[in-house]
Amino acid sequence: MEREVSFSSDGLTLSGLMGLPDKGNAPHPAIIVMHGFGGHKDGPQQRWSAPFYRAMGYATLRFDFRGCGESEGPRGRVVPNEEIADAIAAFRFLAGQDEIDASRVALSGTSYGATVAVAAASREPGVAAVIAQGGWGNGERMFRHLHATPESWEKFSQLLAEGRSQRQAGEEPMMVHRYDLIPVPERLRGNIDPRSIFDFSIETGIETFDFNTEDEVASMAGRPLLLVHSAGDDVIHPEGSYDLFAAAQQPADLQIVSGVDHFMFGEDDMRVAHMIEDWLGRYFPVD
Amino acid sequence: MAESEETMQERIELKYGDLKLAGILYLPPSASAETPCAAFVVLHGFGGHKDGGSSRVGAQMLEEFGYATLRIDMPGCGESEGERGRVICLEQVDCVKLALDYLETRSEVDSTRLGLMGSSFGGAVSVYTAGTDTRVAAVISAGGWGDGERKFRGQHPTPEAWKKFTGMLDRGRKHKAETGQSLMVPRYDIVPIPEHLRGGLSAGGHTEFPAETAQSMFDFRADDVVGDIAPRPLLLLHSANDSVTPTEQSIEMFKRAGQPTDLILLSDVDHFTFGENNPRVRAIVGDWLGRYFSA
Repeated sequence: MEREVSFSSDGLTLSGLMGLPDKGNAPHPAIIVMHGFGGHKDGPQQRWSAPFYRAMGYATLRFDFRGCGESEGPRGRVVPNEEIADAIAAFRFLAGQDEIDASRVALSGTSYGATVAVAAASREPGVAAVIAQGGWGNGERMFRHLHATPESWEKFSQLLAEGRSQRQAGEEPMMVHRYDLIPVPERLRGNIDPRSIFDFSIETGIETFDFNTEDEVASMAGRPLLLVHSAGDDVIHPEGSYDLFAAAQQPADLQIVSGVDHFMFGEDDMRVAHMIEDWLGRYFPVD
Repeated sequence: MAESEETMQERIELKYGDLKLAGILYLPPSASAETPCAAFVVLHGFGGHKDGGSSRVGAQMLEEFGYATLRIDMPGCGESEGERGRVICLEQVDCVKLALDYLETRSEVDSTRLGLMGSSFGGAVSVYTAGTDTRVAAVISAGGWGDGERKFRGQHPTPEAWKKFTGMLDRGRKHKAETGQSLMVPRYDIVPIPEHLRGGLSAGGHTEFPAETAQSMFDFRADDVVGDIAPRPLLLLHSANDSVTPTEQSIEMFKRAGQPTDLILLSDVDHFTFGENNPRVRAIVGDWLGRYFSA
């Protein structure tokens, strides 16, 4: 069972669902479930992972980043440093709950939420462990894979250049469609439900392009990191995860899995479930 | 009465030119001409042998999953004939092909479902063989490598170490040209292994190798053929922080591979992955087999 909760991040009220595990006694270890780019707490991957973790004995908190779902904040402005602040606010909120063991709170994020999870744990030493599925470190390289043809890169670069000159001139940033920033193949678009954000400020593109978690991931040293990625990911190239792995300290696992796609936490895949369960058992056990 | 493990193991012999190679074939109790089973050739590491930790424990894991296994000693290793320690990569590839030929003659084995599993040097040979022989239906490489030269650069990282290593290769060539004999060099001058891991080596494995062995490894590039394995499944396992063969070797093979390929880098194993009996390794291999190459 989950209950509605809210907490504050930079003065904005964020909306979450907190659930206690199916077994075990308080204080419980906990995992915070974080959604991807312009998604929300009730998307397919979050609906799968929260009960999956609770069944193992972890409390969960899934929440909407600012500007997404039911949280406050300007719609369509998704910026790494602001989502990292939200993730740290979520961590502090959850760690402060009576039923939760504050020393054992982990982050689990998918896609944009994976990158944010890694960065938040790098900045907040209280985070005990991280599971990052389908993320990346270097924003520019991530976008280069996404806009791989010369034509597509040209088009994307022009959008960013226009956004930067608007910023320079102090103008209102223009809005662009989600798929002009992060294209998703037709067959996978069912994973992005109508409650997701579809139009974004160009500031989202600029800030994401300029962001590089590879520079800070080493600060997680000593705390376990699991990087999971689809081997044939046609949204975020798996290079995103192996470059993060290369920049990370141990203990870090890199598990690149074939036969699943970018939205694998929504696929109820047995192999993925076992890998995560075994990793948690090894590095972030319930008992 | 339950059949003992002994009775299901059979010593076999392969002919590689004039050399006799030793092997041990295990057949699961259910295997018969009517119900032939999937089989793996299991390859040992550098200068190891079929009864060393990684081969034996790795084969046993596959046997418990229901596969037939054939562990072989490479030429010059274990109970096989051949100049001691003369380990040449491309010759090993030929020997694996002989092992596949042999399995094809066994009615209890399904010749359309032959896999390879190798550790370290054996991982590199497994990938190379699968890339050049379409009979191989599935591959598991643990701690393998795809580019011998780059691997050696990782293993001899300082300018001094690299100079010493390449100097050894030069001396080996000169020695051979002048005397017709191989220059024998210590194992750890070719592949350094930290003291604390040396227990993972096959007991009774070689401590000296001819310089040609190092040259053959230097020139061996599974990277060039790993892309030809797809659409046959490939599982690349590696320690996340391997203290013998640099982890980047498996990452680079993954980059060149087609799909389906899985790359699994584990932080709580070291180079002798199978010999460590890690339950996560077993679960990952078992699930991968269930998905792509079920017994």
